[in-house]
Amino acid sequence: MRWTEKLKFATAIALLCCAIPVLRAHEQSWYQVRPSPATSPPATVSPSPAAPQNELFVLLDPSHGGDDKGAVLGNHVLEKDVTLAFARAVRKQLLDRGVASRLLRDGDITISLQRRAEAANDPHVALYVALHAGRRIPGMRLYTPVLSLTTRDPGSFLSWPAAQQVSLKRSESIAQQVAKELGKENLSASVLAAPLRPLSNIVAPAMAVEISPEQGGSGALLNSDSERTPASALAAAIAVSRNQWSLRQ
Amino acid sequence: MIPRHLQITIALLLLAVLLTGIILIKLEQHEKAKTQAAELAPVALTAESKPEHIRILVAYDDDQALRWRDTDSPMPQDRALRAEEVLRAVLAQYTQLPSPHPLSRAAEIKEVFLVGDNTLLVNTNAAFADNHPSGITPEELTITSLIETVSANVPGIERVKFLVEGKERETLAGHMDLASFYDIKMVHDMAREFE
Repeated sequence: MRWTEKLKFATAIALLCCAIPVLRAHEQSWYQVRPSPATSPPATVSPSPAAPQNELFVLLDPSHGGDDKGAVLGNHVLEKDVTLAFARAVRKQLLDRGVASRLLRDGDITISLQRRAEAANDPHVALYVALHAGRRIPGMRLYTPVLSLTTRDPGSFLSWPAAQQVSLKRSESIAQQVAKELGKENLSASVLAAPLRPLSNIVAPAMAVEISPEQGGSGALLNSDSERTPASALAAAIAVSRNQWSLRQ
Repeated sequence: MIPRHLQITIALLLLAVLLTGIILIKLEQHEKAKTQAAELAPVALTAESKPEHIRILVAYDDDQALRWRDTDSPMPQDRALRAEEVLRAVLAQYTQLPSPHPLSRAAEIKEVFLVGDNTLLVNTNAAFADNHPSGITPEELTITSLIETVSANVPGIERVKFLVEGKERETLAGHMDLASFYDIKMVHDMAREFE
């Protein structure tokens, strides 16, 4: 072997020896930057088309669905089924009152919270209403978003955790008016504030409504044809508060 | 033909590089062993702990309320350890039967970290979140009672964040946000709703 070849060989060995400890030191950080499956984009969501393309509409979100069963409300009743049935009933009542509305899910499918927020941030969404169900709730509970002081963004750009900041006052005002209207329908409703996802990630006015299937039985709760049901009362209250949520951003 | 002095120099350089590589690997292994030993070392809780009268906020599912309870417990002076102790005292109310707000018996507060002077990171085990009853009210009661108890017994805490097995989670059991920090002032308002 010529001396130049020996020199090349020696240099290659030296570089390899230097590289091994460096690679070992960085091995951990390589794993850390890999995106986890949880953060990968979820399946697409298609809000049920019921309103014309350019019209503002109320987006009803039956919470949970698919693998996410939500709360077990007793006697094998799952929150995801109650919220979907209730959302369908409210939508029918809203349409009867001439209020354009869509369902965020109209079947038993899994939708991530992030995907729900993305769907709710459609510029035509005038009001986002997440529907939940719980046990032993007196009447109906309306929840407005709560933003952590540390997530409030004073700059020109809205951060994802504080997207609701621009509409928070209107969300609170709409919830108060809806509760007042529900009271007129003889349905007790309290307005509370809670940090529920994905309310804080939504730009439009947003609130969550919690109902209890134990109130008058799930049949009465979900019957969309009856004149006086929680679904019709909620739809009537949302329709009356239209002057607050129908303004464009 | 390479001159002999050059051959010797190259050989010495190679030897130096090899030795450096071996030393670096050994140092890395030594550091790892030191870190693991520090993590596994038991915390001397009782050495500095003094019995104290503390107040804990307990959730009651029956009437969906939060009520203060008085208890005596050995409390460390270190603020992070103190927070860990009071959180465990609250959780014990929920994991032992009978309980006013039953949670899984396997639910645990694994550790608590104080970041800066005012931020607390609470790391729970998977059973705490995976087996937590789903629903806005039960989840809100758990979060509020834990944070309010910390606030009452560890002065200066301004925000709290929950982790599950060291990782961030979107919600506790489908409703309450676990991805954000909880401001103590915000939690005071939430607690007032259950008075």
